[in-house]
Amino acid sequence: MKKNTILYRLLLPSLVLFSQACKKDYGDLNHATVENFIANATVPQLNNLVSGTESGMRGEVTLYLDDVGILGRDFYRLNGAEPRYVTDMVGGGQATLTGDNFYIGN
Amino acid sequence: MRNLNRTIAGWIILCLLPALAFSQNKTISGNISDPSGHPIQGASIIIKQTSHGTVSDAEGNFTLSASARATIVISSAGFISQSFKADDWADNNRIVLKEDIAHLDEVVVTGLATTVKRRNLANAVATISSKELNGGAPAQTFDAALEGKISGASINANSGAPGGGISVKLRGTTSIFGNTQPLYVVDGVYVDNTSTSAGLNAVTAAAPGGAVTSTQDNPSSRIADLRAEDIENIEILKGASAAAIYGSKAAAGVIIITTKKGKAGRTKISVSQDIGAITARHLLGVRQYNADRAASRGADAADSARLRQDFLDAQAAGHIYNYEKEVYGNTGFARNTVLSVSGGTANTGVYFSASQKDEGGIVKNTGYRNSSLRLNIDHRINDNIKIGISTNYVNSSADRGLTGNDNVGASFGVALSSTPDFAQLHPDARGDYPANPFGTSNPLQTIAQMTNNESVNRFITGINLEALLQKNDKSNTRFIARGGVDFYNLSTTALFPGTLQFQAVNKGTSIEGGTTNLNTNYTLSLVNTFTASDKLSFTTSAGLTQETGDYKNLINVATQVISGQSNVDQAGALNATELKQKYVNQGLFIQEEANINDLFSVTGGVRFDRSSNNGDVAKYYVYPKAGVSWNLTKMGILKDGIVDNLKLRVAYGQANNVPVYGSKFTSFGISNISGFPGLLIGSREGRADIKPERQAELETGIDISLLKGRLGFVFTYYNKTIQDFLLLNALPSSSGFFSQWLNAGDLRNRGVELGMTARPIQTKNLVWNTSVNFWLNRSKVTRLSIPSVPTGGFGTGFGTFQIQEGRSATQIVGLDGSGNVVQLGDAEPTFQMNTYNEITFFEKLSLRFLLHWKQGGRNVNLTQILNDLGGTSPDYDKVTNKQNIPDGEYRAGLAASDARPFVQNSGYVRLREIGLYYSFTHLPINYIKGLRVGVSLNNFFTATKYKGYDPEVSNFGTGLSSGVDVDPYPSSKRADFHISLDF
Repeated sequence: MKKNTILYRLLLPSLVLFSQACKKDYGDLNHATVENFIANATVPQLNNLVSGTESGMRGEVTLYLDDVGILGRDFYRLNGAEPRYVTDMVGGGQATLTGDNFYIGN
Repeated sequence: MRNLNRTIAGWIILCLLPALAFSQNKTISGNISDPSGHPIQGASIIIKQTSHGTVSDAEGNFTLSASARATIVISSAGFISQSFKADDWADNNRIVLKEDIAHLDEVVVTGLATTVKRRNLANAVATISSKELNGGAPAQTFDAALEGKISGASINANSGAPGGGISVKLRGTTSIFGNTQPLYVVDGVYVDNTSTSAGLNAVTAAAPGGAVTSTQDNPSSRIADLRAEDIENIEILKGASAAAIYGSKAAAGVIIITTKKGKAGRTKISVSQDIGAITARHLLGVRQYNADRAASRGADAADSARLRQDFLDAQAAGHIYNYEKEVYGNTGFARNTVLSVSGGTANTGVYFSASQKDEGGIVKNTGYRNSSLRLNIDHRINDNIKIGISTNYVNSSADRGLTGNDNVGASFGVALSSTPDFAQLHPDARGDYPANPFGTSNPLQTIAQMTNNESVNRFITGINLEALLQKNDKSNTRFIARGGVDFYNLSTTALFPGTLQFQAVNKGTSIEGGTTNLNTNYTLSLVNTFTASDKLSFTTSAGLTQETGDYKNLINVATQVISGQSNVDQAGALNATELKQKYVNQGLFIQEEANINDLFSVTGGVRFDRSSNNGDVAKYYVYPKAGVSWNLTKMGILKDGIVDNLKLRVAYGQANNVPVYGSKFTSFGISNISGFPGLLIGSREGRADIKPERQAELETGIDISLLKGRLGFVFTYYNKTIQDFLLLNALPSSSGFFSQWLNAGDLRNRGVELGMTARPIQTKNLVWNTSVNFWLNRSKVTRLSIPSVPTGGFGTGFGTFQIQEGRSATQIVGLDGSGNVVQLGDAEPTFQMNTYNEITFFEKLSLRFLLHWKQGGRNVNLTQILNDLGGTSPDYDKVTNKQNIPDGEYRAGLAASDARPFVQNSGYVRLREIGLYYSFTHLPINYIKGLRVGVSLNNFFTATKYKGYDPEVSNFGTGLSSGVDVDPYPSSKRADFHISLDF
């Protein structure tokens, strides 16, 4: 009986307190995360995204123009080091697009 | 709220409740000695079912009053305990305790708050005593002192750099990308063992992409801070079946360290001094040049003619040098002083130690220094409450040099690999070093001018409180609280002045790193022992645990550093990198242990765990465990005789390994433009549903003890599965990401551990104790939901680790010379064996040695190919290949197209430790109670066919892919002289 009292008095309340009180999610302490931005982003957060998009655009726009230009047959891209511009991307021979990272990244 | 107040009041009252009155009506006195008649000091004499008792004094005498019905239990570590009815006690009884050669009465930790005698244990728990750890030939750091001593473990030094850095893998690989290293618990404190990079990648560019840190920066392990001298014993829970109750961090096993405590009796003061010398264990040798060989280095005819003339000039002037010897040939002086004070009364025990060691390295300006203070106090407040406090302050400093992989040519080994013996690298009369025409750095200059220091200030404090809450004839209930704090501040200083040859562009680099880490943990538990009868007892424990970690690392990299300055603001450019990590793990556990007349010992338990690193932070994952041991001799199935003890045991348990911090988030990267801070989505996709890795282990075995404990055998078989192991999966870039963490597969480890302990000779003048262990492990990836992934190395052209379904987790694959990628070996050894022996002559002269044999296992040796490519390997000019060209040239030609020559057998037989000690017991000066002198050799003899500096190596530190060898800091051997005095 005494044992039960101890269990009841000490252990159970501690367990309840413990399991309710201390649930923690510290988040990512090193970076901004998509999870934080995705719902109800603040104006400064959106401004960061705008600047980031602008900055990303500057770096990647040439590749993007290459890609859409080739796909839309605006031009024929001759590049000795990268034959896939005229094989994969225009469907030359048996070539098909792959999941490779060349088309949309450097 | 009122309820809560009452609860708190209840706690206080229960904790402080005075002892229940005993009917103490018989005085018992006696004397305790060992079989050879020496008194045993500090043996405990306890009234069974209580914590009431006393200890024997220096002459072995004790007095105690007890009720006539009571049972008295007399025990002392290393001896078989005996019990008596107080009624049957004769005055001044002389008790002779028999030595526990088979360690059956040794108490082993089985829960967070409970222990059991080894004879009833359902697991194979390895124990390392203080003597085995540090009494043979002491190693430089605590982690190195574990090497070769744990059956079932794969322990591998990452390099020979001062200050340690060792990978410990218990029963195979338990994680691919997660934590593979065991949890270290020191007196109840969960101690951090992070390896923190000093940011050397900013200089070496070992990992491409311009990162400041990489896994190739050769940092030490923080567990190396501990002092082996302070350790009383170590228990190793190798897998989930034993370690399940430790929960979240126990998947890679648990190493439980108990430090020395003061015992009742005379205060003992010991002073010991070691003096030693450290030299390189093995050097590769260098290529002997002649005029033709020098000329063959030339790119064209004019170059060849110039090199030929350079060689002839150097030869004529006597300026031919063995640079390998100049770089790695230093003799480091080592000293180590330890003062310890230990003693106490029946209620209070105190252990204090102060120690300092200072050791040089085999490279000039490298070395290790460790200063430590420890104070352990145990106090019995009253019959019902005892408290133990352990505190430790450590200051350690390691100068580790610059070794390992680099893509700049700055590290010592890489610089040496292209530097022939006729190069002129020595400083002129003004101390200015010439540029090395054969490389991008002059290693002699680098050694003289650079700094790479790790400096730690660390506090570890643990508290252990035990209170008897309730007690009657059949049952007692204790409240046990254990916990502690581990805090350290690590400063890393890497300074490469602008005068260094490879700093011509950066004009000096100063990298200052600051790390603070705080770990806290506590376990609160209630333990009830219910003794139904003499033959049946139950121990029920339940409680809660919490562990937190808070790690912050800030690295500043300054370039264009002002001459003579190290302060990062005295520089032209500054770049900062910060990493923060924080976690909390919480667990609830309940465990039941039953002992049926020492015939059966049954354990069952369950643990509920959650972690802030998991995808779902609120979810408790459930980890059960169970174990049974069945003692056949007690059963009467085996007649008494040759076999004293035969036990069958089986245990099962589960534990987890939390996901890597931050793996559940998709992070943004910084992308600024025209003065505006901007964010772009990072390249790694987060997994909100990331789960912990789950390990399940089944272990079974037989323990046999024969011939009064003089011969013992332990056989263990285990099957350990890891479900949902974490992998970094490469994603198709059409997803917008490069990679993602994934619970990608299952793997399994199976293995056998065989152990024998024996005392083949036991006479008055000669005692020989020996133990022999044999162990092996086989792993297999049983499920992989994504395509096969390379996991460490330098690609298939040189041999790389690769996770592949149906294959060993540590397989090494590479090109076979015909363009096919094939399996070339496995880092897993075929088997390992060790033997530890202690031979004592006349109770005074003691010879101890540890021999370790690792059979098989493969390394990826790229040190050799770098030397071949640089034209400096010692066997470069031998011709043993079919093409009839120099071997060095032949091997260099295979680089990147045939990996077979680089994947090499890394087996070895090593006499890790041998020591000879003599104890003087009768001394002319009466205040000196004892004097011991000894000599020891550590790592002195190794037989191996491996063609690198040492078969133990890991360019990538403690992760999965150990055994990749890229110009490491060569391993060292040491000889020491020891003297110690007891007052």
